[in-house]
Parts: sequence; C-alpha cells; structure tokens
Amino acid sequence: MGKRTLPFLLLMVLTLPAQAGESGFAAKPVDVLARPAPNAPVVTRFAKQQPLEILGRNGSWAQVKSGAASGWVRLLDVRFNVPAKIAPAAKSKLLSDNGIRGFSEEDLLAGTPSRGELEKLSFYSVPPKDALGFARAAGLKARRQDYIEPGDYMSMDELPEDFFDE
Amino acid sequence: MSALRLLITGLFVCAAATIGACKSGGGFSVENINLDTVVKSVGNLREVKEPEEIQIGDSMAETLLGASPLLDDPELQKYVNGIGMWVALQSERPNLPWHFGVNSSDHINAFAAPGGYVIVTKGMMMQLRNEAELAGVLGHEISHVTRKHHLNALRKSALVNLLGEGVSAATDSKHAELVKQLAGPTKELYARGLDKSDEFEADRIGVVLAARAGYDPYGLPAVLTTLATADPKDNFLSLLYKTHPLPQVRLDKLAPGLATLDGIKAPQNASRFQLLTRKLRLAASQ
Repeated sequence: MGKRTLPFLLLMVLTLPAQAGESGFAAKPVDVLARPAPNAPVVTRFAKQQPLEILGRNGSWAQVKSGAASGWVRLLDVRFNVPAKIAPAAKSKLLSDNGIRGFSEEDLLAGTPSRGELEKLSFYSVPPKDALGFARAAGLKARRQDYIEPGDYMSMDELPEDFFDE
Repeated sequence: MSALRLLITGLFVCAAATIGACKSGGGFSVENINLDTVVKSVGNLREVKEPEEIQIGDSMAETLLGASPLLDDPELQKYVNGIGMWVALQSERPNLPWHFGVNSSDHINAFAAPGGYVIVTKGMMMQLRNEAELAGVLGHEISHVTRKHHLNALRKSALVNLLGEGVSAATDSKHAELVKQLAGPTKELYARGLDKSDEFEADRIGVVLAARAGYDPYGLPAVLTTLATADPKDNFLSLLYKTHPLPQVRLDKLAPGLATLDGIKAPQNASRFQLLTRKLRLAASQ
C-alpha cells in the first residue's frame, strides 16, 4: 500500500492549482476516473455538454466535479466556459470606430505600411540576457524536451485515398 | 509533387518566353531580371539567406503593423518581449533579432513574419489566463518563423525570385521599394493563411518550446479549448477561423503527441500574467 500511495500523494502535492475554480462542460461523453491515470477505475460517466467545475490539474488531467460526482478526466475533454472576453462597451466602441481598432480581413487589406510602428516595435525588444532575468524572476527552469514526432499526427484512416497511387 | 512539377514547368515556359521577348525586342523590359537567377530558381526554389529573410520580414511586419498599431502599454510590451525572447531562446534559431508586440486590435489572433517578428492582438491577450498560455501562443508563432512557413509560402509563389539578389544591402529607398513590392502579397498571404500542415506543425513545436522554457505545456491546448468553446460566428474570430484549421481539429491532431509530455509538472504563472495585463482588463471594463 505504502509503495503505491507515496507516488500518488506526491502527485497530488504537485497538482497545479491554476484553473481550479473555473467552470466548463464535457466536450463529449466521458468516463470519469478515480485517479489521473488511463487504467484507473471508472467512477461515473458525464454526458456531452454536462456542466462541471474544475477542481485542479495534473499534467494532461483535470479533476472535475458535477453535482455530487467528482473524479478525473482528460483535460482535452473539458471545454472551459468562455471568459468575459470582450466587454460590450469595447465592442460598441469598436463598431463605432469603423473597424479601425480591428484586425479583420478588411482592415488588413486596407492598411498602409507603417515604418513608425516598426521602429516602436524595435524599441520594445528585449535582449537575451534580460529574457533570462524574466525567466529567473518567475522561477522558470529550461528543460530538455524533444520535439513531438510528426508521425503522431496522421493515422492510416486519415490518409487520402489516392496516397499510395503513385 | 505534380503541383511542383507544374510550377517548375511553368517557370521554364516563362523564362523561355522572356528570352523570346528579349530577342525579338518584344513589348516588355527584361533588363532587371538576371536570367541566371531565374534559371537557378526554377530548378530549385531560390534559397533566401538569413539577412535577406530578416529584410523581407521587416517589410512584411511594417504592413501588418499598418493594419493595426501597437498598443500603448510599454510595460505590457516589454513583458511580452521578455517571455517571447525566453521562449525563442529554446528554439533552433535563438540568434534571430526577435521582436514581439501586442497590437491594439480587439480581434482574436496572432501573427508571425519571417526573420523573428511576432504580433499578438489585444483581443488574444484578453483571452489568455496565464503565462503558460501566452508562452504557448508565442511558441506557435515562433515556430512559423523557425520553420520559415511564411517565407516558403512567398518562395512558392515565386515572388522572391523577382525581388532580386542583394536585398540585404538595401538602402532606405530600396527598403521603401521592398515594402511596396511586398505589401500586396503580404496582405494576400495573411488574409488567406498558411497551409494547414504548417499550422499543425506550429502547434506541436509550440507546445514543446513552451515546455522547454519551463512552462506547463498545456498552455497552447488550453487556449485552443477556449477558442473551441467560442462562437465560431463571432466577428472577432473571423480571420482566425478563415486562416486556421478549426480549434477542435487542432486539438485532435495535437492530442497523441501531447500525451508524450504528460509527465511534465511545470508552472503556469497566472499571477504575473494577471498583474501585467491588468490595464487591459481595466480598460475593457470601463
């Protein structure tokens, strides 16, 4: 028991609190597990669109609660309720500005190149040593991590029918 | 492959036609076209050296910033540059002159231009909840630069071949000319978007760059889940939706690879992000 519990407790300590307290819903019908592991026992099942509260995070897992039921689901199976992204005031101002503050396709096509803005952009740039300072101030530590293999992104059934024709 | 063959054949035909026009004193001038360059280009899309890439990106960024100016918030601009540079240092092109900026648009989007330019809209910043999400978005854009996605799109259009060699030695007047030449194609490229495969590649590189920088690699996926929840008909998402695969499709593509990063426990830095973006939220609530 001890051997199995310790790593699990450590895992719980390392669980990231951020995003806790947020609300959302299930992106699809999903099994809710007792622990953040694929082989953990299924506690219950949430329906698609079932509202839920996010209690915590652990890597790719979210601890969720809906009514009296709680457990772990894959983070990617959770959709967060959209934050109050654009205040109505900002929206009406945008519209009254005839899109000047926007970056719609029309704005992009109608824009005139601006050397002045590019110079301003250069003014804000940060040398690498200052970037290291930004990282240290936040306690960030660089880690070695290989790129994800592109092969992970295409299964045989996604290949076009004529893929092997040539 | 057949498209490439067609392009190459087409360019040979163009080159042949050019020679013909030259010999017969035809109706257009070929004085400024170096035939050696054209011939070299058609066989093998012309290699663009780094100084030239930066010069091209510089001109494209000028056009992008012309559509929406930078947000007047020096503290936020410096912050985004600090994070952006830190993430870019984890890439295979740490020595590019990286520039990051937040523009004043309420639309939700982010852009990159060759040579190290990355612009995030104010609307996108408003969607983000922590630094790990910002690092993920910046990582995605940085990947477009390191993998030369926009530059290659220009090269494929054969436009770069017509710009002429020695762009990097441009004088002010030559620079203005370059901006003028590139303004139309830049607008067209950013209104049309990159190939979907470029976007998927930028997603999977972006999460790794954020992870290398010490962040929770789920920042970018979290942003995609936010976007997947938003109303796709929202006007503020129109250009993003037109130029990118649907967020849900991107999440589905990313999911198997993301599983390989499962063991990483790393911070999201919500408090610093919330502090540095407080003016944005304050302005929006007024």
